[in-house]
Amino acid sequence: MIPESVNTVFEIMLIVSMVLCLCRMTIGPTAADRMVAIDLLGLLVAVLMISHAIRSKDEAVLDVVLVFSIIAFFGTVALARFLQRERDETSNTK
Amino acid sequence: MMSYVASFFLLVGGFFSLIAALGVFRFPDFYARIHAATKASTFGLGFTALAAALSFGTVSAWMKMIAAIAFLFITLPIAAHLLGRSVKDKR
Repeated sequence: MIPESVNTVFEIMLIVSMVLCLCRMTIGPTAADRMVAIDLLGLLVAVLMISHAIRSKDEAVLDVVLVFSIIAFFGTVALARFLQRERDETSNTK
Repeated sequence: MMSYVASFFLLVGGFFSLIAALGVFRFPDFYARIHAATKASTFGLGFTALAAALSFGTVSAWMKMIAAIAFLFITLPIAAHLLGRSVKDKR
């Protein structure tokens, strides 16, 4: 229903934003900056999955999008918890 | 007519995703980066999910995408809060 050309433009936009995210992930000064970039990268992968679902007209991919966003959230929570624990340990030893 | 609306929503979603990535890449401060990564990307996935639901047009696709949007609106602020708290007092 959505034209192929629009989908292609959308995918190009997403790939540019993923490259920007990867740049921030590489040069990020601290671990927290890299974590934010990874978080956003997971979300962009979910958006790209929606684009694939539209292009292939396969509705089952939308389930994958739902589950993937849930797992990305849990990953972010785990990483934030890990970073906080690391910070607490370093502040205790000082 | 509906395909124009769906294409418009898809492009708006891509635009917001691009803005989120640009903000994460360009902003100078960590908290500004969190702001860009969570707020703009909420609308990025939201508009894209809306475009997918309009494109499929079935009830199950609408339900899945509404669930995804609702879940996103609940969890992304929580993730941003946890990320911000994990670096608080560090700098």
